[in-house]
Amino acid sequence: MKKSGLQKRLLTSILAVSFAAGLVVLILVYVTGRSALKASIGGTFRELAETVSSTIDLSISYHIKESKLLASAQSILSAIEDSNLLYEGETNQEIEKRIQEIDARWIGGAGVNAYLFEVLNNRATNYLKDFSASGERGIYNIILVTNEKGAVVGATEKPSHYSYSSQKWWRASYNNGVGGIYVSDIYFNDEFGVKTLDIATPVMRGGRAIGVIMMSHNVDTFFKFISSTRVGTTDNVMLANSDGAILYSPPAGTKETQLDKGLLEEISQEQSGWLTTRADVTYHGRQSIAGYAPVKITAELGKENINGKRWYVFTNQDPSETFMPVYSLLLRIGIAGLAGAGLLAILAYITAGKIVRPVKELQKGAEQMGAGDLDYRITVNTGDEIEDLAFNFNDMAAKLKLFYIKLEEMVKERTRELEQRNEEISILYSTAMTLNQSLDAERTFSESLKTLIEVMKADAGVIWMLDNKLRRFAIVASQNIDLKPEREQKISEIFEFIGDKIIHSGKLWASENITVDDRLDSIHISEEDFISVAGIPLKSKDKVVAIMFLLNRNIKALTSREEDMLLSIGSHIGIAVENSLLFAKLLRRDEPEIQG
Amino acid sequence: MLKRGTLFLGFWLLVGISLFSVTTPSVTYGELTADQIAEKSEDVYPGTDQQSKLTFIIRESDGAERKVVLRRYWKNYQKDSEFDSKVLVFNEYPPDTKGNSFMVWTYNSSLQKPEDLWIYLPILRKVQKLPEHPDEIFSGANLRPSDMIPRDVSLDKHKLLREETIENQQYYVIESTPKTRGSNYNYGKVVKWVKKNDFLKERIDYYDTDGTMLKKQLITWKKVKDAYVWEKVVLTNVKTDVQTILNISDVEINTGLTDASFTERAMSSGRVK
Repeated sequence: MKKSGLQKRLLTSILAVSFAAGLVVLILVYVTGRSALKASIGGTFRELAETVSSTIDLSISYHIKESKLLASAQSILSAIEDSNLLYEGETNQEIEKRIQEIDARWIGGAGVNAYLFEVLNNRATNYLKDFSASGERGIYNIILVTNEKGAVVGATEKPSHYSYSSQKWWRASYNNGVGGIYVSDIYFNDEFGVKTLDIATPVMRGGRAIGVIMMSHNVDTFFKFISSTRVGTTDNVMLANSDGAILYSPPAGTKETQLDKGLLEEISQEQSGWLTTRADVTYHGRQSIAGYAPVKITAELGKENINGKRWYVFTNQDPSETFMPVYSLLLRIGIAGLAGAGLLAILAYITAGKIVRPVKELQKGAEQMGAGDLDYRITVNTGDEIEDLAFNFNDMAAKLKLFYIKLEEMVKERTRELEQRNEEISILYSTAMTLNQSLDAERTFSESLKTLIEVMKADAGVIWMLDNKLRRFAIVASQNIDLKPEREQKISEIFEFIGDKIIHSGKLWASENITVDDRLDSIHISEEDFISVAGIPLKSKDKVVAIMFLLNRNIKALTSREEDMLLSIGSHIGIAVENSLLFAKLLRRDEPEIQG
Repeated sequence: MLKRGTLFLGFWLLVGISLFSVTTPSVTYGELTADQIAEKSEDVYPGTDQQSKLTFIIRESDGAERKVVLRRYWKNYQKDSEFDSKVLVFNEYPPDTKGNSFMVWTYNSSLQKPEDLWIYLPILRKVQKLPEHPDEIFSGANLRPSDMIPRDVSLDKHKLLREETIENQQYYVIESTPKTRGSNYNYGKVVKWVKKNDFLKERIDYYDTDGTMLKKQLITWKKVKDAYVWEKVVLTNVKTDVQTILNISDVEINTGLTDASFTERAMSSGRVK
């Protein structure tokens, strides 16, 4: 199975981490953004509802004041007074009967009606018409004035009735002569075919109601400002009463007439606020945000007004628009994230390459070193841990090489030692064989000297021993050396000097170049055939019985092992020599004893 | 100083109210001629007497209004009597005219005798008899006294123009043209809208001899006991756009007024027996 490359894995890991981080960011942005946006939009909608609610308060208050102002107009007052005067001398029953007769004809077959003509042309009517014309166009369905019996005195349009004494607004406003403001709930007016809000105000004179002014408002115009009060493009501000009936909705708003019961309960609060709901009249089933606020004047006016109900302003907006900033932000973040991911992928590819290249170099070096090329050096200049690792690899290779060299040397050394030991064993064996084969001292001297010269590859050799006859040390055996008397004397000085040292120390004495050896400064050494000398004590019972000198014409240094071996061999030879001498003594009783 | 308009109003009422009081109309009718319709619309049964309050509102073309309130007493006479009717009117409003009174006696048409008119002004403390043809002194008024003087239907030629339905009410539209041109009658013709069901005249248009419309009068009637009387009259002068609204209230029928009620003494004392 093919392994995926480090670079690919690095790239994948970087991208995976980036995407994971991006996803977390997106989720966080969505959650926090949506939450923050909900709070923000909710607050805005609450303020919007409050603003509209306050404006409704002001608007109704304004129109009440307006109707009061109208009620104080002299033209209205005098027209009503004149009308009321016509009832003088008649009983209430007669008055009521006559008013109903006129009303019946008014509703049924009016014909040529002087009453209607007079009503539509008198000064009160003219004043009302002027007043209506000066106001906002279309806001009034009708403004009419009645006398104290509820009969029409003046009106901006032909009223549907002549008598209004049975109407709730009239009774509430006239209030048995006491007078009172009346504001209706919003209702659909069949006569005008529009939703209507009626405000009735008593016309007072001398502290007593003498008539009533009723201003019937077209709600669409009255609340037109609501339609233009918005914060977005799909939001609508609406009005509902405490029964949940939707009293006003802008043209772009809902066509529903009833508010969801649960939503009604939530917005029917004394304080303004906002909420999230899935029961919105327009966006039912979708989570949307709605602001709400009570219309305070509906409470202040008292239960006799607005049919004893309350009004509540509430808002709605297409959730798509509400949460558009979040979605837009997410989209932008997503696009930026994708662009970033692309850039990241490129950077990751480059970075991974930068990371992987030295690793590959390491890999290559490791392979080379593994293959035994310890001279291979990894070249990495990243200035980081990888460079340290490469350095360590190189160091390791160098050390390995050194180790191998040492190991080889050790092997060689061991081999050489082994060979030397074998040689020593061979020498010892040869020497032992030589020494075992003869009890003759001279023969022992010559055979052992010959063997050692051969084994030690010396050029020549002598055995220096105390001559009992001469009572001095003299050469008792030699090999390959010309011992002319003159030469013997010269060389004997050297042997004597060295022999003295050996006898006193009992140790081997060697000089690889006697011509430059400081130890021999006290004696004169002329040019000799031999410049390398090794003096080996031949000891028996720790006494030097003789000294064997091995001579070389070239410089030759002895190893310590060679020195030890020669000392050992010297002891064997010494013992053999003593044995030979003892044997000879036995044979020649007159032979002098060897001096220690 | 007595205002000419006020004088006119008093006179207008003195005559007019009696003129437009009618008897209880018939209930069923077949095919009627214009003369019959005209006759029925003028078939007056005023009762024995009437008392009422008259409130006039005169609205000028500029919207300015004046109000005049009168107390009227009227007595009807049998057809074989010398008199046709007697009317006494007292001014109640405006305050500066309070106490003024007018009286007119109209005679049976067979006598061909012009009416007698009196006026009492408190400031003069004297009852004064007015000229025989008072139109001359009221030449500036909307309506002339002769407008309201009862006019015998036989003096005019009547023509049924059409039947018309207005606001669910059916009307005969009758055109009445004087047969001969007289000095006391200034109209070329009048057109009357007479309700088909009760023959009450609810609209009268007045034209001059050139056929130009001069005035329009709308009338709402009220039934009191067995009689129908005016309750509200709106008269519009088409040329001047002056509007006169008359409201008749506090109407009483057959109250027992006698000849002693219509005297100069009653005029000056302000009390009617």
